[in-house]
Amino acid sequence: MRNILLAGAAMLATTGMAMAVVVVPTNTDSVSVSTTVAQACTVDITATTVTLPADATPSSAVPFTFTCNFTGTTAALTYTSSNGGAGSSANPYNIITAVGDDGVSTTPLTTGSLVTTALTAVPNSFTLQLQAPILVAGTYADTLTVSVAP
Amino acid sequence: MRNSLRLACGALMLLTQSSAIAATSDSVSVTTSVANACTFVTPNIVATIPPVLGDTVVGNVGFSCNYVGFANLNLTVPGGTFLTNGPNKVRYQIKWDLEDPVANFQYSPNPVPSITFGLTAQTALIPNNSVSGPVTIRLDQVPTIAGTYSSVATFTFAP
Repeated sequence: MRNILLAGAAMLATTGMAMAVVVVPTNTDSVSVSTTVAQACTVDITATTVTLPADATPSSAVPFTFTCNFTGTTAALTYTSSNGGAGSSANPYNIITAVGDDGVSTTPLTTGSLVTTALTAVPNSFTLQLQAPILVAGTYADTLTVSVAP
Repeated sequence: MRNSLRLACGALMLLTQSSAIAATSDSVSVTTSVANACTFVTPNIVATIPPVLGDTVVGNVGFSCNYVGFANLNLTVPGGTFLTNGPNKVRYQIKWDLEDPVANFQYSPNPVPSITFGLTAQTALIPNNSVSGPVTIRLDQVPTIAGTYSSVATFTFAP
């Protein structure tokens, strides 16, 4: 600030022109800082395995939670099956989410939406149900993935 | 200001740490199983055979399984393989053509409280399809005393 005052005085002396330099004295200073946290959600399925009744009755409820860092809008859920059904696409099953979803989805498993509360693990659950009983003996397996976005 | 920056940094660290623990997707293994099971597809046989020596086909016994392979069965005959009429008895043998690998005439040489024969039979080559085969009764003795002689032989699937 002092350098500016001296330069102004020098210009006034050499040119003879009237020139005013206004310096507002202040005892504060500022730096603008900003950061952005993108909307994000996580999902956590409590169980690692679920037994799907072969007679096409509903499974026991499979609990899961989702946590988002925002409130009020909705998070989108996507269900995907590695096989398109149990063992193979020949044995499709439904997924029925307990709260806030669009109800029964069919293979290929589709999407739903859930209301979020910021930084709160919201409990939910789903049940699985074969669309038809499996009539041939054997063991059938699948991997079901629940994804949440954003 | 300094405190505000510290708080912001702390919040970012928390978010970063929680993101490292959780994920935007999670998976669960889905399993189901169907046990081997078989059922008979033919009705009970009620047959009358002539009281003479020799073989008589009395009907078919068929079954269906939900798998391809072999079915284990028991053939149980209370009293042994004898047609009885009160104290009078004549011996018979019984054969089911689906017995694998060879269909044998089964019999008990002497009266017994009960006798059970273990049998094996090939299933159909397609799950839940049925196979059926004739049952033959071979009468070994001719009854000489008047009356109706009877016996019940029961097929069951062994566990």
